[in-house]
Amino acid sequence: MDIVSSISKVLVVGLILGAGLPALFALGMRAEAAGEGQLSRPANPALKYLGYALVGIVLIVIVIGILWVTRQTLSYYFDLRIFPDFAYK
Amino acid sequence: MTAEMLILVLLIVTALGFDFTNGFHDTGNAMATSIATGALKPKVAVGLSAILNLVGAFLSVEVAATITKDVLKIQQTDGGAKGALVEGLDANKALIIIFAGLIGAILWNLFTWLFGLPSSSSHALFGGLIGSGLAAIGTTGINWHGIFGKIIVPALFAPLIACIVAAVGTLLIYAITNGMSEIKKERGFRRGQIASASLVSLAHGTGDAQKTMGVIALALIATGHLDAASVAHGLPFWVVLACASAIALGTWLGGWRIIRTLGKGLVEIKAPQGMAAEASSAAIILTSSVAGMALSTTHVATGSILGSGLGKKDADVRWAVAGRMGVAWLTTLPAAALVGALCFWIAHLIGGAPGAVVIFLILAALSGYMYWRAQQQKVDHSNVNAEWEEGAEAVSAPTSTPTTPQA
Repeated sequence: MDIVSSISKVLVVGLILGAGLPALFALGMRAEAAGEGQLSRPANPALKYLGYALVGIVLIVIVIGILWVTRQTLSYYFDLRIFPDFAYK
Repeated sequence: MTAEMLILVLLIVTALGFDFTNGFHDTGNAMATSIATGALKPKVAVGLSAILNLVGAFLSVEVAATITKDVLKIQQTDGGAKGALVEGLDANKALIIIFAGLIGAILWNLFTWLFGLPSSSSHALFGGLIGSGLAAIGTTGINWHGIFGKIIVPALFAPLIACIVAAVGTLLIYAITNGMSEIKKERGFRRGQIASASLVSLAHGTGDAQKTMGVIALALIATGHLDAASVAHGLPFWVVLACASAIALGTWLGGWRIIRTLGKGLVEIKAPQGMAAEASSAAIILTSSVAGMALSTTHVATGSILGSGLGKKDADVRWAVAGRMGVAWLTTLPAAALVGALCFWIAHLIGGAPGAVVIFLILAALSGYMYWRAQQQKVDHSNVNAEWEEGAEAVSAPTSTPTTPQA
């Protein structure tokens, strides 16, 4: 039942990252728009910065994604291992 | 030049040819949605994707020397001679098996491209190898367990998982941004779309260029030009350079017919859906490799785009187009296998270098014919986003009325 557990893992992590991150990005955009007073509410700088922060978190996760794709190379050439051991061959 | 050397050279040229078709077949997986929503101009999109594929191909150090192990039993899978041929198999026969398999893969890739159908290049390659392996060795040469677990099961689930994730993502995005101005939404999501599509391109480069490097490595090992044990420390630089360039060149030329089907044919995509689809693809491709299950980029990308249609309330999904893709997926493996087997028999009957030259000429002739056929109803950057006509095959896509500005 290896396959079933792999598939459910991919589905769960895929939902968290693949649907959760875009949702977080959307939340950030909404907070930003609301903060600028675009959603029939008075402008609120705090909301605007919250929006920036949320988009920032998404960016950080994308950078981690790129580091993940390149992890074997970084480990091989530079001995750089930023992920836990199971990620490396 | 000895016969063996001639076959080896033809095989390497053919392998690079496969890598090239792999590139242009898969451009759409990463970039179709960005092109369809106008987030990127068509030529900018394929250029970006090509660069990221090139970088990705150089970045990857996981040398897939045992490329055939999941489908054939012609290579040793462990020990010092990992990647070398199993005992009892001579170099010439092994070369012809791989050569014929590659031809099956290329011809099927071109055929599906002609009809604008995204199909898995990995399935085409494995199908071709299975066919030529069956023809050469019989059923004992086939790794049935590997085919089931590594190819068939993932192929069934990849589109389904991608579809669910993208549909949930699309639902969430539209619910959250409800009431925001359309202009602001479009702008924000276009940026997100470009970022996530870039990640898909990079992941594609690291994964798919490896397949061709592995095939070439196998041929070099079989003919004694490369020591199997040394492969663990990397491949000769020219192999990496040639493979990275071939896949990037293919990506850059862009399989416009397939981009068109994915971007315009399945669902009319808006930027928020495009971002949901690409984020879903990127997340699934990256997590599946952790779970030890390499899902086809093609299957994931198509499932994601379908899901982005299902997740939006009033979006129309063209099920007829999705159905045609489904048929192409089911037939990819057996069809490539059939061509691979035929090519092996032809080469084997004629024998030696002449046999190899004959199947190479068959490949060149059929490729040329399909290219010519495609030129009759050309799809390129100028008409890739033209209105989709219901029921129209990609081979009869409009040519005379480009509706998008030149990129």
